[in-house]
Amino acid sequence: MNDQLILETAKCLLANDPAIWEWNGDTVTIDGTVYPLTPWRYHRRLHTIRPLVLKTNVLKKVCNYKSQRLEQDGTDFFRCLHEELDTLEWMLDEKIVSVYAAINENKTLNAILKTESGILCNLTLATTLPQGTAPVVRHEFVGLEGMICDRSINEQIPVEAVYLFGENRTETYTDYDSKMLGLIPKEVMMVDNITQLVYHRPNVTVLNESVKRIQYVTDCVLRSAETGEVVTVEGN
Amino acid sequence: MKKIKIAMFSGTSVHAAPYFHELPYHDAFEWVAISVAPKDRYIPTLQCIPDYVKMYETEEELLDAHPDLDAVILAGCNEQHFGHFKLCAERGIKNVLTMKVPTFDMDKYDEMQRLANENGMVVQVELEMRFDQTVERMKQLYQSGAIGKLLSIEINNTTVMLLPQTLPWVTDPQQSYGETVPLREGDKRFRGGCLTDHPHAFDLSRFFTDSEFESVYADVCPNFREADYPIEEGVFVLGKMKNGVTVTIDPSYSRHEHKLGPLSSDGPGWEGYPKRVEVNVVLNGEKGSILGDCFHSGVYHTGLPYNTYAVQYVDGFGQHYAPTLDSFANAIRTRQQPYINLELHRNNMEVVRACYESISTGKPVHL
Repeated sequence: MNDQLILETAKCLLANDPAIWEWNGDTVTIDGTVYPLTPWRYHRRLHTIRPLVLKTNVLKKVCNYKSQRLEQDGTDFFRCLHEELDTLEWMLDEKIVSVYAAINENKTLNAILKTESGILCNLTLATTLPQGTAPVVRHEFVGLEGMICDRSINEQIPVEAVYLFGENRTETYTDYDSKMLGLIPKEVMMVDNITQLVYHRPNVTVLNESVKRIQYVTDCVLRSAETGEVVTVEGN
Repeated sequence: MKKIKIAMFSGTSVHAAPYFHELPYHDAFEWVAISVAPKDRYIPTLQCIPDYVKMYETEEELLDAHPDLDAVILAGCNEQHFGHFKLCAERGIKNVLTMKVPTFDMDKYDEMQRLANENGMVVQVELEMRFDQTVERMKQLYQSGAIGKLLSIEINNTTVMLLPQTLPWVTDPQQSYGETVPLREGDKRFRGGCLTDHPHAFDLSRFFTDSEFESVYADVCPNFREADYPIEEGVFVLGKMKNGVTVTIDPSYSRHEHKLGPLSSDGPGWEGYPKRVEVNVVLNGEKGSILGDCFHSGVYHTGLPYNTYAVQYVDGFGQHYAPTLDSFANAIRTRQQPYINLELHRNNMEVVRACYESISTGKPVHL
């Protein structure tokens, strides 16, 4: 990620906002209050899916949820796990109540989880892709009335918007916002996260609690992987 | 070379239809007869059986009329396979191709193996994904060392559900699973749904890892359809192989169908999803990953009959079924047990049973 580009873009977008803010990597301080950042929640596709699931209710009822994530070798495996667990609870607006997981050499995870209303969830994670390979990420919600997915539903590899097959270069692009041309999706998510926090100032206690909770759920996943047992996630 | 005279029992198996299309053109077989109970005659897929194939109401009647029969395909509901197998053994049929669920009763399974051995029968199990070209390519790539040591696998065998209008037995726990066993305490559903229907995914796990399951954990979600079918429609499985590879399997009926009325056609369009069947596999190794889409070959249209986004599989799709018949024919002629035989398949049945036990207890089951 290009931090300078993120900062300049956020400053530009917030130029007319009177708030005094400072970005510090995993947090942003706004008028003296420190907010944790959760940029993965701001992926434009997930941001579009969430109200379809929770407000317009197009699936009527979600029955199962599947998350698949393949990242480059060297990517922080446990950070990815934290992000995917938070994404699960955020997108379904439900708490995880049980988990059964297996982790292999801290590079792959297979996990089956259940939420409080009985939605069955399947998480797979692998940090095995060679350097330079684009991540493969997919989130799938299946309900009584069909499916919602952040990918083309019958293809395995993410489809991009622009493909350049040049003489000496092959490039792909998927730009989400004309104000952020040139930013990769992770940079767009971070800009969105900062600007939305500055605009809306959500309850910081709730945000901090959710960060703590996901750390606890992550511990439960690790415990299940270590013991080979189903772990009940307490505190719901 | 003399053709092998073959008959099919019942033809109501989920996988019977592809053989209706393959058998007439297969150079090793002469398809002479099929038994179809009168109550099943209306089933849409049965309408494409060629006229020259003689149809009988019972298996006994068929066997009486064709004493020179060489082979039989057992293609009824799962509950029928054991009885049909015994009948074949009693009537001297030496060659049997049974659909993917011979029986979940392991005593009966062992009895089938005993009958096969005592009667010198060649018995093949229909696990057609073993003959899939994508599966074969993935295994070759893995074995070439392209991704190093295998760490984890993800297999999605997700499909539409053949509704009772099409195949009445698929939502009947007794006929599907072979006995009526509740999924778990407090759940009004029974064994016999998507998990029963998709042993391929378990077999592929063993195929890719060259190992056996050490343990499995499985759980069910609420059903995807509001019709209150008494079987499970959605399951996730997490398995650990003896060689340390971990496996996630999704065998769910999570691809919805068109809602309007009974299915009248086997052609594309009645599925509410571009592809009615997905078999996707991800192999994650220390040095990389291999992603495979076994049902990739399609052309798409939005035309008749439903104007939905539909896939028509291209020529070559279904190549699993011709090699299955090739393998069976070769086994018959050489009097060798085929590549996919009762012994190989036994552990697949055991693992599926273990998954049901895990659903029932809420705990992983060690095999």
